[in-house]
Amino acid sequence: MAKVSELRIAGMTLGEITKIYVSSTLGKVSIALFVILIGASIYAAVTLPPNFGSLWNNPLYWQIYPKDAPPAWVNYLSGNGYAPQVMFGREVSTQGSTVRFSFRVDNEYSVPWRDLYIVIKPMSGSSTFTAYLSIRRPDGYVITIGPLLISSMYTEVGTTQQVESQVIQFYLAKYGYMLTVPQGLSAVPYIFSTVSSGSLKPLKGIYVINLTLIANNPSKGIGNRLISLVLEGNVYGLMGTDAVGHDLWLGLLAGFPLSLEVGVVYALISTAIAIAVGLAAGFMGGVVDEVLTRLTDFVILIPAFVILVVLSVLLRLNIWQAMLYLAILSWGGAARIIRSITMQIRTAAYIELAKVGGASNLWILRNHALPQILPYALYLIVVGVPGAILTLAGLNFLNLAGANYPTWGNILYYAEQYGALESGMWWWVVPPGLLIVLVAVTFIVTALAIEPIVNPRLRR
Amino acid sequence: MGVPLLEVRNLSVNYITMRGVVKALDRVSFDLDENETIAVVGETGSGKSTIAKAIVRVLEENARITGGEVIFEGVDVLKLSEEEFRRNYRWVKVAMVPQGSMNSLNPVLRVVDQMIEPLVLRGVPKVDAIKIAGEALESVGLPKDTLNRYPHQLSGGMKQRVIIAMAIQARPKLVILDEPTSALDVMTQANIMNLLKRLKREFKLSYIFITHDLALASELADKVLVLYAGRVAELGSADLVYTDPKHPYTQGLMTSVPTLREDKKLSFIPGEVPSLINPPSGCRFHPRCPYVMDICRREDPPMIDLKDGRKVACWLYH
Amino acid sequence: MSMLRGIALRIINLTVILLVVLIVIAAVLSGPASQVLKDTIQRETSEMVTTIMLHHPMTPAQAEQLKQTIIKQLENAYGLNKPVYIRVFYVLFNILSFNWGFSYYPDAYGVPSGSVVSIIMSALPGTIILDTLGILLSALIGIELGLRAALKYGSLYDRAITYYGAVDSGIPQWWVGILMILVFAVYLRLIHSPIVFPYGGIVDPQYYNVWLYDTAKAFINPKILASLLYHMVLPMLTVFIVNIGGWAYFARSVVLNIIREDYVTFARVKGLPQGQIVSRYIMRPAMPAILTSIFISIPFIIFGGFLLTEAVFQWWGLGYVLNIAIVGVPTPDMPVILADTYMSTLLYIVLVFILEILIYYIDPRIRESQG
Repeated sequence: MAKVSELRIAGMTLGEITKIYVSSTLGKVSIALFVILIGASIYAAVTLPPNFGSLWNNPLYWQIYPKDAPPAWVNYLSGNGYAPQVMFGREVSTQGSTVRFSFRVDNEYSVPWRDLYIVIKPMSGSSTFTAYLSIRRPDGYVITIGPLLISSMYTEVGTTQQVESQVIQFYLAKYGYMLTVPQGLSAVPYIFSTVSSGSLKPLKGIYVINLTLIANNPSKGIGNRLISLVLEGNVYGLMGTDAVGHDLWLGLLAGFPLSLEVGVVYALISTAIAIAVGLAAGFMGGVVDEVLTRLTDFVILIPAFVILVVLSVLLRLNIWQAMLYLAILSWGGAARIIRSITMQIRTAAYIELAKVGGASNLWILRNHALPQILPYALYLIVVGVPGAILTLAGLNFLNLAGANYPTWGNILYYAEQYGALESGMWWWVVPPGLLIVLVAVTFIVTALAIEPIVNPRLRR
Repeated sequence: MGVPLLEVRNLSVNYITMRGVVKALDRVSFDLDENETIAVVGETGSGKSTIAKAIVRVLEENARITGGEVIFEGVDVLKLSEEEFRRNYRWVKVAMVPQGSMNSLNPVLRVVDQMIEPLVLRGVPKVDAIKIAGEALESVGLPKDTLNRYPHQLSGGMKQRVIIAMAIQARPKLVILDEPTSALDVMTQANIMNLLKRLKREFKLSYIFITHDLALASELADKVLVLYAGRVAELGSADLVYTDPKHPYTQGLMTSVPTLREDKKLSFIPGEVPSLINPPSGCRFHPRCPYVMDICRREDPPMIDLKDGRKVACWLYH
Repeated sequence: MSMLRGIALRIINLTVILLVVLIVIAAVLSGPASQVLKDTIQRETSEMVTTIMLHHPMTPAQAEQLKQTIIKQLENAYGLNKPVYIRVFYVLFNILSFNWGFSYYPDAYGVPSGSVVSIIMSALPGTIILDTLGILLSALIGIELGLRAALKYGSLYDRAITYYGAVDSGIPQWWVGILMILVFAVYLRLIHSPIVFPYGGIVDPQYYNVWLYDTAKAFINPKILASLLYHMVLPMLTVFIVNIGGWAYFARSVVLNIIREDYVTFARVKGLPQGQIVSRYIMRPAMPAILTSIFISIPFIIFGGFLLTEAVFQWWGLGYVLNIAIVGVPTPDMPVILADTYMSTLLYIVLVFILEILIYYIDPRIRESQG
């Protein structure tokens, strides 16, 4: 008779299991993948602001970010010099009505900045400012822009009629060149360009941007404010931006803890149901078994995905509720396995008991069934996660089962809606899918590594 | 008697496993004449089944024949190509009733389909093949309508008979019986043994009868080969081996003869079957041998020819 | 004789399961389904009253009263005022009698009349073609790959297939579709490749009308057929990439178990040639197990995968229609979503049914226990 004094799973101590697991290649890979996932999740939890959801869904916040910009590192790959996003900020605290700063920026890019923003925080409706910009270029010329009325937190400089004509004037005066700025586009790139042999060229070198800000209500003065100049880039950050200007790096990062949590909680719930049903069916036998087996067969047959789609539309499920419904709809396969294991254990245990003398079902359950079923349950949990992650990502791709900020599937939904695909914006469509695959594959590899431990027949 | 039907010369087989190389057979030799039965006797793991698989060349992937010859009617069949051996020997000259014949029938094919396959393969028209199969079934005492059954509809004994019928319908010279009765109850076992005896007479068959059961072997055997840990311990005519065993291991086996069929641990011989990865030095039996001498621990015993024609691998007779 | 009886029993069994699935769906959806019916009644009654007013002028108040009376009668007739558990059966009856109502946004689908039945029916051929061909071909290729891997157990090829098969089940099929479009439709155009693939659709736009209204004719017309095949390349490739691995993985593990069976060794002893052993002694006994294991993963991965793949490729099928009904219109188009659900379920059950019959046919042990 097996002693229960030492904890043994599938006949091995925890130490032995760890040793087998770590010594296999798959085990090592799975541990490495988990370190990445958990590391990214912790990093996301620590670095993302607590109000990330509302931030993400506020288009104003992303206004000054470049739209549809590829990641900054494409410069290294393509050799093109796309100007990245640049931001200068200064905190002021003055009762005076005028402040003046100058910023230096080195334009070493062949594709200059798209636009210029003046950002003033905080900004209340009653106070307005007037801004003048004078930009000294590497060629010694100075472009003067202004006066600009500043009445909101973000002021976009490049597309106003006034700025456009000032830039055109500059070109006419200095180069005798008739510049045309396409309708609706910013004039800012031309500030960083020059005319050589009759055509426009980027002008590289050091630019000094002087900003003069005058409070329109002199009695109030400027006050305590953070004043920033933002040069909108053509490339942005690690992962680029989408059509709204969302920093995709942040969006992707936020997906890590969410998909891990949802996947694992799903697997815990569905496996718990499966164990309850499987154990009951396997142990009680008779009518209970018959009914539960039928129920299991039925649950296996249910087309969970479409039902989930309908429920998500109808009940406006969020991702957690959808996960719960999914768990309720998809425990069948696991229950079938648990039942057959239970049956084996029960019949085997009865033979043993016939020799030793009677004992209750509960005793068999505690001393024979659970120690054998628990490792299998662990395996089922691990196996269950990828399916849930894929199913929920599929729902997210239909813009269903959302969270308060986009999941990876939802980022892909927006990518499709904005035509990211047709315009070849790979940075918007490839990474979210890859991350879904990464999480799913992590659990699959783990399952493969656990399998020989759980299933001794595979041990060699 | 002339040239023997089968000569096995110094056959050695290794299994390559994760734990190391298992020397399953070590220089095993024996002869077999037409219409003669040799019983290969030994404990589980002694290499009995390996002999059978090596002769029909269906060893597992991790097995390697490291030396020796299997000469069938003067031809070393180990040197033939797989295709040539398959075409001219398997089920033509050599048939086999495998160990675990419970599971040797394909569960999704009817008996008739499985029986006529080898015949049809060799050009027998299907109608004739079915007739032959039916007759073969009748000769092993099964009704003809067994043909249309699926294996799961048959009992263990019936399956065993079907396989024996398959073996004899090919009219082979040699049938290898690998533990043909091990999974059957005593009654069925007796029936099968009688059947085998009758078939041997009727069709002039030679048998290699592989078993761990000496008592059973005595019913059929002309010769006995006692295998211990992959080596021949004793080889000789059945009468002599049974009445006057020479090797201490054979002697031990003989005292355990009147036991049940089951694979009984040889409790009177202390110790376990040795590991074939790190076999004991010298004579492999010496840790369990009651007559162990110094030389046994150091040196391999040579194969000693006794006056009565027997061979014994034991220093006692040096 | 006994075999026919067995199949008949199986059919009854599956029909019962189908009914139960439908009842559950009907129960879950009886609320929204009733709403759909109410909307239909409202709409039809308004039309009816308008027509009546042409011949029998009456005051607006009278008209309103008449309308309410008719609505009440119709709602009685349709059982809308009955308790939920009874309404479920009315819903079920409506599902089974194809009484699916009208789309809220008839213009969104390009199918005239806006009747849900015509929308769903026009989408059916697309789904059937992609799903059956996709499942069948990827099964054939996958099983073959898995078999070869098992026969070369431990080789580099075997390991490659194993890892591919394992990882495959963690890849969203629809995302692979997106990648396919990105590479073979977008980037190939960008580099001016002579061969490019369409961004989506089921046939060229000029053939849409033929496809939607007269699908049978579309199959006779070689131009339309060619266009269909051309549009099918990327979706099919997607289906292959994501499904073949799974089939291969299942096939491999089943075959590995069977290869160790005594009857395979015995078949070799019997002198059968390798080809015959593989087909009759390995594949035949393996098929039921392979089919069964795929069985369990169908509702989860394959089924959802196909619907979303259609959406990505704008392949005129149930999945794409579902996609339009959910995100292509201002508010969810409930009648279409419900009908699409019923139809996909039905299709799915038919698929399961075919699988079951297949397993039943191949494995005499199952035949025995059921018959």
